Amino acid sequence: MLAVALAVTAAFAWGLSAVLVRLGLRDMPTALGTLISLVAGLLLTGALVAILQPGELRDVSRSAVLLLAVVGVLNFPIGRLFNYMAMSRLGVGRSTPLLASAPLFAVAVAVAFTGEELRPATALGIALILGGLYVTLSGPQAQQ
Amino acid sequence: MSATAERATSAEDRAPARRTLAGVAFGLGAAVAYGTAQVLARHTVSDLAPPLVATFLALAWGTLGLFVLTARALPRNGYSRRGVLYFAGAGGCSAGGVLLMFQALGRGNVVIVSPLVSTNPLFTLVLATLLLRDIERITRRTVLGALLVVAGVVVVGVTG
Repeated sequence: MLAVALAVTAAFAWGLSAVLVRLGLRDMPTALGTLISLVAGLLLTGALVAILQPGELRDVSRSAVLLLAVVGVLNFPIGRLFNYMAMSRLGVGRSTPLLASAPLFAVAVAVAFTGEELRPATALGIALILGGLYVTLSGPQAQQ
Repeated sequence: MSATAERATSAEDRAPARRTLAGVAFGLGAAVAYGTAQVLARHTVSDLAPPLVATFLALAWGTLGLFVLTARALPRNGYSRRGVLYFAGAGGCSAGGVLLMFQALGRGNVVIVSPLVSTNPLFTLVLATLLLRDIERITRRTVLGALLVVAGVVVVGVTG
């Protein structure tokens, strides 16, 4: 039950984050806003690491740090900045489903580069995602 | 209508379409980046560092990378305090969401946790309807599209 509550709270936090970005984009350029959001996240996670797992940071290997650099650059200067740029142009309603389609590309990368098999149920999921993107993007612009 | 006026009207007509196209391109670019990072994280990072530490290090690298890329373009002054608060709140919520998800995964079955966290676009739409009334209209079509995408992501997450 606690896991369910934590998962739902996580989903709510991400939903609130997107809405706060949309509000912030009225007052601030996208790149600066993205940087501020990253610094805030860094301070929060840094404080938690310092309190909860201070020793673990020293034990991380150099190769892990380099891999995390690749993941970090993909996720933030590219992923988050592009996410906010999409939000400023399409609005939250139309950009959110686009962003949520990331697992579609995760499947494509996994099948192409790591040899994972595409199961029929996964193909059904991909069809639903593509259908959802078509429905979302084929309608008229709803931004006011 | 004169030729000049016709050209001006035509350019005005194209501007929203170009803006939409750019938005879709940025959104897809972000989805590709997130998707690729998910695969890398699943196959490598999870074995090498605890999730909290991995999130902190990835954020540190990402912040550094974005600062290096955008430092010259950043305004030196005139920061809106309201904008800073909104984006800081967004960053806190985003990082908090990641940490809560890891806590949920540590306490529950991934088959239950993964679909639940995938519902975040629905929370976005509900909150946007409540808080963004003056900025954006959420249509039935948007809701239907988001429901289909979430259903697809849940199916991929559970079966993948």
